[in-house]
Amino acid sequence: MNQDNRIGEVVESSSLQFTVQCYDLYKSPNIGTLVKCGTDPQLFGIVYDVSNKSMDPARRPVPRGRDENKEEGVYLSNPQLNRLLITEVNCILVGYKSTEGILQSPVSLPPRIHSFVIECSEEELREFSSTLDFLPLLLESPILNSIDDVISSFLIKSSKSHDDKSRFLIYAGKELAFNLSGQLIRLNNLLKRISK
Amino acid sequence: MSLDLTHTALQIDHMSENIKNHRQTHINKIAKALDKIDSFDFKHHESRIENSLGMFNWNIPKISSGSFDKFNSSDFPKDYYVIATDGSHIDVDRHIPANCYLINIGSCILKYGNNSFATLNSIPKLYAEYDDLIITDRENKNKSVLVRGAILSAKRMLEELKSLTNLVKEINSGIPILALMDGSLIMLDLIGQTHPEFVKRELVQNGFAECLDELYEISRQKKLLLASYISLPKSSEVVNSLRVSNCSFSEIHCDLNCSKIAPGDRSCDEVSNEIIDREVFSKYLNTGERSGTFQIDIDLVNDYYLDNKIHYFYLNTGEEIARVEIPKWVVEREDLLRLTHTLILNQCKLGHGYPVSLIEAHEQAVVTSSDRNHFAQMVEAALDEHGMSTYTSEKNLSKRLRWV
Repeated sequence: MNQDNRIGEVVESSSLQFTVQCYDLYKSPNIGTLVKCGTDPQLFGIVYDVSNKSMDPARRPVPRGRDENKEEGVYLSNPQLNRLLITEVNCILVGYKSTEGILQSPVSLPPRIHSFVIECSEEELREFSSTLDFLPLLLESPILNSIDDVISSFLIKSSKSHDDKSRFLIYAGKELAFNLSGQLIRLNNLLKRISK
Repeated sequence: MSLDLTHTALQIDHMSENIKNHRQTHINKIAKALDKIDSFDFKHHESRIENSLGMFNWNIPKISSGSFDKFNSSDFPKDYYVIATDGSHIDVDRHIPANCYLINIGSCILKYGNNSFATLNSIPKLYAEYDDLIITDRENKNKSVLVRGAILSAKRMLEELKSLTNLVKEINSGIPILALMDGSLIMLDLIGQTHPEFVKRELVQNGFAECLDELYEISRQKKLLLASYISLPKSSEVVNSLRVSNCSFSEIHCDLNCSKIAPGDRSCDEVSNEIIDREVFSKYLNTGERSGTFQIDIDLVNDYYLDNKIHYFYLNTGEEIARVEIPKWVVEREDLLRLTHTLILNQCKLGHGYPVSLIEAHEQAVVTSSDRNHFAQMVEAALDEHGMSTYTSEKNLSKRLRWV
């Protein structure tokens, strides 16, 4: 297991998504990043939301920097903040690894709590994005409205992992067109984003 | 039925009216106490105390010539540690089917300066062995008391200090360490109640005082400061000491002279009655200033704290007047005393009025009512799992199953 890319552990999960508490404050993958967790089977998720907040919902952070010149000063003068504030990442489940290889389909069981969550390597991202069968899962996701931002971020990141970036994006564009045949404006917006 | 708030509101109104009516008299008393402090004659005070032959009934501290001086804080070091502990407990409960109690000690280590970091932790410990549940007289095994209520609170305080001592020992560094406790350094739970002498010997002399001794030994190798912080103190020892010079009798003998005079009408009441120390020091100290030190002079300390005399000073944090208690070895070294003042003031600033290390230690230690319910359920479940029948009182059952 590549511990360098380990970002945190699952603290909440369902068969649709899971929440990761990062080991370090502000050290999280970006939206659209492919992550993996669990071992049997290994599950894949895409980051769709990142939040920084108080670990205890009842204790709201208060301003502390009135006398500080720099923002870092707030953390230096209050070292406990690194223990009381957390970064959380929400991921949508998009597939799993079986004996037959990577399957991009809904998972039957959510990841276990405390599963280690690891950011996928470029190689794993290339392998995962060689097909985009999971796109309908995302496009029809009931989880959030801004899913199109997540999809475009994922596709742009994936394109960089492929030797022929343009060819991948053309393939992705065709998949989007197929899945959004009745939603031209949405399709148009998505295509514009991934072609930038 | 819930509390009849309509009825209570009328009584609250009446109480507020009373407080308002007495306010001016109260302010006048504080002003007179301040005048007394300004003209305080240390030698006169000392001689009157000596001549009273112990017939002065009020609890007062030992005052030194600099007790009513005022001190400013100094610059604080770049690198230092603050360590704080706090505790909570679940008392023995006859309504649950096991005789046990739990002490949860929360701790907070804050390192400031280079490579700053924080360590927050809590360690719960369940006490259920026979020896945990009683304190026995070492000299007479037939004498024992149950650990619960005030005795459990005192034991918890001892565990807080033990934990603080262990954390201090773990730090191998030459930089200053402020070890901070919440509340008093005096085991107040054992004062004023009829606890057997062997309980005080066990918890105070063989426990708390030994820990203080250990910390003193550490302070000879490390730059260690030990203090406890009392927020919104309600003590009136300093104010009571002003009674000495205001006593109109040539010889102080409270019982003989004033036993037939109603409280409020005695000559000493003019500067002291119904006012407390922090009310006076809030007018006396400017923001950031501390008073000189006063030595606690009570039987519990004199009889059981060995050489660990406890002193205190009042501190104007800017948000409130706090009472900071410190051991003798901090008072005796001007640099340690100044640093204690400075670091606690900074802790209050960082904690928006209350030492941030104590806030975090408390957050680690706190046992909520929901935790208490879970604890009781876990005890029942564990006993059940081991095939033992569980029980509770009918009173507890009636509270759980509320019916009409």
